[in-house]
Amino acid sequence: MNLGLPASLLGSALIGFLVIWCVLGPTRVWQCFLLTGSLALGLGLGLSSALFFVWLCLFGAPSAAFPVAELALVLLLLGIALYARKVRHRRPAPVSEAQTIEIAKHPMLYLTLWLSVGCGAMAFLLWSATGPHGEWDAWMTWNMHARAIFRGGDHWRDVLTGLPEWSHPDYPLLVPASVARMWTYMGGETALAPVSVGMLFTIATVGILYASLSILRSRTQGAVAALLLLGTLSFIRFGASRYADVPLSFFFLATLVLFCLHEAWPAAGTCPLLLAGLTAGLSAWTKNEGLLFLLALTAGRGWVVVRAQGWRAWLGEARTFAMGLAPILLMIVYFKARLAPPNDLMSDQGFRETAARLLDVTRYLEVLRSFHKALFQFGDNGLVGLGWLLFTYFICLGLTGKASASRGAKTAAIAVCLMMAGYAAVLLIAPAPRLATNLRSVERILLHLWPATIFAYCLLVRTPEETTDPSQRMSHA
Amino acid sequence: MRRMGFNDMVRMRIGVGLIILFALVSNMRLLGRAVHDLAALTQPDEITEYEARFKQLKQVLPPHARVGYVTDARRQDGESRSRPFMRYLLTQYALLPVIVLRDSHQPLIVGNFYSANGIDGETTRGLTLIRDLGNGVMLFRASPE
Repeated sequence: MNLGLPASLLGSALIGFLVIWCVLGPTRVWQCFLLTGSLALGLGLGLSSALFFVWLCLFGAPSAAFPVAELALVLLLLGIALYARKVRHRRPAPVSEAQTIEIAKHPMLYLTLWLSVGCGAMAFLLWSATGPHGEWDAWMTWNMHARAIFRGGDHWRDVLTGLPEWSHPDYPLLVPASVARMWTYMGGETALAPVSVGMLFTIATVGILYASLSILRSRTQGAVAALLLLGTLSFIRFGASRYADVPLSFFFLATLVLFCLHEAWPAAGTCPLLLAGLTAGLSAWTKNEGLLFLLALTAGRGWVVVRAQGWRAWLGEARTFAMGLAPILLMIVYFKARLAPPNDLMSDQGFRETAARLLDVTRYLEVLRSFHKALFQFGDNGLVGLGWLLFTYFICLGLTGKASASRGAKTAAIAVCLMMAGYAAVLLIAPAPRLATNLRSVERILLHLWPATIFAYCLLVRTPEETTDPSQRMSHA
Repeated sequence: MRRMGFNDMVRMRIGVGLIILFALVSNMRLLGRAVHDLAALTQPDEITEYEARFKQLKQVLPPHARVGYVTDARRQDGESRSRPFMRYLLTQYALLPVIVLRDSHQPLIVGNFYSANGIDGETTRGLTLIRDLGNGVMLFRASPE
């Protein structure tokens, strides 16, 4: 049995875990293990793919020495973590407000959650067996790039940049570099590598959604959110298809969760923002849409913080966030400047062409029609669409009165709305051949934002405990 | 202070019940689709089949080469319009790190035909056959003008 795959997975998870340990400290890591574990899975894959890319740029080819270098890094991080533990003042992490709330008993909810996890896992495995190379976009873009890197050897740059335009060689490399890194560990190609990447990101997205809401609101609310996500057919489907949409949605969600935790854990200082900078940067390393997310997040967070606490507070936050973001952003700038050809959506954007597209009313109608259709059909399981379900659930439970939940939700809600507007704008100015293709994939665009939308929604809606516990209701009654 | 109302409890139960019902229906449908897709699978999948088809050619081609690509000019009966492009993509995917360009202006040209016996004379005009690797896979050289 080739131990390369488990070794590479363990290596990336350890990198993620140790980075979180170094930033947040051991107490919080162990206290919120599901949250930090889920975050470590995604963060670790992202950081190890970045490391692999840096290795390729410095040393020229994927080689057997890379795992040794990564092991050295893990040992270094472990040393830093142990040293930090020694010198860190042992401040007991404050128990979050949500943990003091008595958890209402909803055995059916938890039973359904476990059933959903089981069904989701089974469906994922069946689909992975059905298409070992993933679906169209997965093998045409992401697997193709992974092969270009791995098979290219010393010539990986020439092979990657030599790929025809339809393979989008300008797309960022988080997923391909992760897969090529695993193949480097194994010394050969296997479909298990892209399957593992897809599966880990799918699991981590559900895990971080459940765990973060369990901390910020209540466990029942976390279970409701997880059920909504696992019940979204396209989430498991696209995860198993090995598209980069689920990894992207993971990084969007993780960034927004870390901003909320920054508010919920005042004792942690600005540490969660450092991690938020990393995850936001890794979203841009996953897909070009991540760059739009950086703009939307900066605007959304700026609006919320400046209105509530003033410019100074926002600048303080922005500084720490930028420290986490900077290394990943520098790497993306290098990739875009030195390796990536111009993006096909953006290359044909002269003033005259763009103005003509913006003045074309039929384009607005086409974009509106596709968004309208996708929004109403999104998550439709034959019984009900998710839009109607969320609306009815909101009518039943109502809005929470918790100020902290509202602030975190505001940031997430504004970022999601700005992203939607940004996506629509990109579609409006897309060259004609690309417009038709992109309009067909609006469902995937919505999926990028779906876990973050559920997160914001569950922060805003009252928990079942708040609805039935009079003491919980007093604050807003 | 308001006392907990009967209505609040009922509304909460309806809300949570809807979520549970939604999740159960979705999960049944999810599993159903996955099982259906697996049952409809032809063995082996098309990409694996292509990899096997091009295995020999891959060994013949110089690594990191750029080659041209020719295929049947006409689509087969009942074939979708996107199918020829898909066949080209699969060829590129199978032959990496060799770059396959969709033209015949390279010194070496890969032929991907439906049948070895039915080479399309129109698309291979001016090309010299170097190797016939069977199964419709061929390697041509551009003839000097």
